[in-house]
Amino acid sequence: MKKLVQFNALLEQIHNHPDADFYRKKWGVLYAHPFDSFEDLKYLSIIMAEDFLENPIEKRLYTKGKSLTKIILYGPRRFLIKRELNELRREQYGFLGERPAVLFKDNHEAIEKSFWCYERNALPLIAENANDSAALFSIERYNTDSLFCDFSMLKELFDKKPDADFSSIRHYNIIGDYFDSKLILKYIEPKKLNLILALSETGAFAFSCPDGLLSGKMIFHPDRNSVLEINGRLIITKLLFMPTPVIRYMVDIFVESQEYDCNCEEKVSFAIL
Amino acid sequence: MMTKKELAKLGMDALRDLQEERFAKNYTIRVTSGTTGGSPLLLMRRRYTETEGGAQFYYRGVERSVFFFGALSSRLSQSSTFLFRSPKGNHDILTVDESDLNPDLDILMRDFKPDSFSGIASFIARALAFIQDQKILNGIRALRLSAEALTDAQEKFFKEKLPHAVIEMGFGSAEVGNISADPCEFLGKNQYHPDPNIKFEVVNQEDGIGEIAVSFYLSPSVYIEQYLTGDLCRFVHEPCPCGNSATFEFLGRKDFDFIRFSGATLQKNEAERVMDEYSNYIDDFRIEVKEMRIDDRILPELNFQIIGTKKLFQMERPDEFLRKEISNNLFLTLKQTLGMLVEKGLFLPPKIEFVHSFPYSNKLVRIKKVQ
Repeated sequence: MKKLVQFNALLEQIHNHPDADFYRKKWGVLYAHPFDSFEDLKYLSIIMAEDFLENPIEKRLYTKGKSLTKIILYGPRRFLIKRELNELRREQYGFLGERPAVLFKDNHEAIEKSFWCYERNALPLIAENANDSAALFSIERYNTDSLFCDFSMLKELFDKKPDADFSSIRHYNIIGDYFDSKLILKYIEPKKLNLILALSETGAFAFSCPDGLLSGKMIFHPDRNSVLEINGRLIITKLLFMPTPVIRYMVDIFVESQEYDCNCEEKVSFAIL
Repeated sequence: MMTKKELAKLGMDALRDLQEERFAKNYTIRVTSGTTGGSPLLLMRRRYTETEGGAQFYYRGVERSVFFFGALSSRLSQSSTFLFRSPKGNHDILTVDESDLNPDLDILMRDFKPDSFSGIASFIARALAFIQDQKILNGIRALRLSAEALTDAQEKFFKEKLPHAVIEMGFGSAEVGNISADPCEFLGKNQYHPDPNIKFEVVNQEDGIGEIAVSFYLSPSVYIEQYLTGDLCRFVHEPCPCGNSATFEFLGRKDFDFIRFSGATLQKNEAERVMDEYSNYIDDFRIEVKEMRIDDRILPELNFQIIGTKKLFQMERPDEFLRKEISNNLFLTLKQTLGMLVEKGLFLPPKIEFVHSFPYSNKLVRIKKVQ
C-alpha cells in the first residue's frame, strides 16, 4: 500500500512537471488518475534504453539539484543519467559499515557508490580498479569493513590474490546484474553476503534473500524503492523521484517468479533465468 | 625532512578526528598508485572548510563542471569537494575517465553542456581531440588546471581550442592537497603564492632551484612537518603587485619532469620544444636518462623512444636523422646541446628506439630517470 501511495505521488509530479515531456510524449495523454493497484501499470507503455539514447537529458529531467551525471554504456552507444544527491541517499545498495570500500570495473559506478556512502555519512575509499596491487593495498590498509563491488572486480580480486587478508570485511555488497553464485559462495560466507540487483541507469531494484543464500539459492526480492513486473523479461519501476524517473523500464534480464518460504518481510520472490 | 614512506605511516591517523567529528563529508581519502615510483599510499585527510580557504577558485562561479583527473581518488575528491562546497543550486558534475575518450564524448558533451573543465592539462588536451562541437568549446568559461606544469604548447593549444575560457591554475599534490593559494592575476605561468594554511619551504637548493617541503595539518590532531613533495621549484624574488611577498615557480616533478644529472639538466619543457619542431616526423616521445658506469667514469646516456610519422619512415635512415637533429637542438645546460656534450666525451651518444605506443599512465610522464 505504501508503495502505491509513493507511486501515485511520483506520477502526479511527472504529470504536473512544466518542462520535462519525456513521459508525456511516451504515454500520450498521461494516465494521471491515482492508480488503485499496480495492475494498472499495464496502461502505461514501457520504456527501453533506446528511449534514453534518443532523448537528450534535458527532455528527461524532472528534478533539479546538486547532481552527479553518469555516462551509461549501452551496447556500443552511450547516454547520460543524472543522480541527485538527495535521492541517491535513499538507494538500497547494501549494508554500510564505518569504513566502506568501493571497487567497480566501471568508474562512473564507483564514483556514484562513493557519493552514496558520503550521503549516508560514511567515508568511502574508492579503490583503483586499474591497479590490483594498489586496490588490495588500500582495501587492507583502510581496514575495510564493508565492500561495495561488482562481480567481475570481486572475481579478479580473489583470482589474483586468493591469500589476501579480507578478515576485516563484514559485509560484501555485490552490485550488478550478473553473479556467479557458486564462485561467490566458494569465497564468501553467505551470512556476509548481500547481492544487489542493479543497473547503472536504474540503481538498485532487488536484493538477495538471506535465507536463500544460506541454502545456496539465489532468490531475489524487490527492494523497497522498486516495483517489479516479473514475467519473463523484467520491467522495473522505481519509486524514487529520480532526475529521470524510471517507470516501466524493460531490461535485458529474464526472471521467473518463485514460491519461496523465507523470513523476509517482502514476499515477492524471483530468480534470474 | 619527512619522506613519503614516513607519511604513509600516518595515513590512517586522521580517522580518530573523523570519529570525533562524525561528519564524513569533511574528509577525503587519497590513494596514490605508486606509478611514479615508490609504493602505493593511502592518506585520510580533512578538507578545508569554505572559511579556511584552500583553492576556492575550483568551485567558484561555475555550475556544470567536467572533471578530468586520472586517479579515481583524485576524481572523487575534487568532484565531491565541488558538490559539497558549492552553494545550493543546480550544480552538476561529470567525471571522465580514459575509457570515455571516444567520438561519443562530443555527443555527451552537447547533452551535458559544461561551463568549465577541471583537471590535469595533458588529460584535458587528449579529451579535446574528441570534442569537435565549437558551441560546446565556446561555452567553456573556466579551465582549471592542477598537478602538472603547463607547457607553452599546451597553453597555446587551450587558448585556441577554448577561446572564452579563463585558464586558472592551482598547485597541489595527492598527499598534501592544495599547496598554492587561489590564482593571482599578476603571476606568470606555473607561478603561485603558497596556500596560507600551510608552511611552505624550498630546501636542498642548488642554483636557486630546490625541493618543495610543506608542513600542514592533515586533520585537527595530525600535523605533518616538512614533507618533501617530490616537486622542484624556485622562489620568484620580484615582489608581487598584489602584496603577497612569497611567490614560487613550479618546475616539475623531481626525476620526472626536471632531471638533474652529471652537471646537466633535462627539462620536459625543453624536450617538448625540440620535439615540437620535428612534429612532422614525431607523433610522441619518451626519454629515459641513465647514468652508466664505464671504467672509472660515469657517463650519462639518453634513450629516446619515438612514435614516428609516415614521413619519418619514408627516410632511408630515420634513426640517424633524429639522432643528429635532436642532438643539435636539445639544450642540457645554458649553452651546451646534447651533441656538444657527446662530442666532448661527457655523454654517450643517444639511443633512438621506435615504438608503436606507450603504456597508459594517469599522469603524462615523458621524461624520467632510470637506474
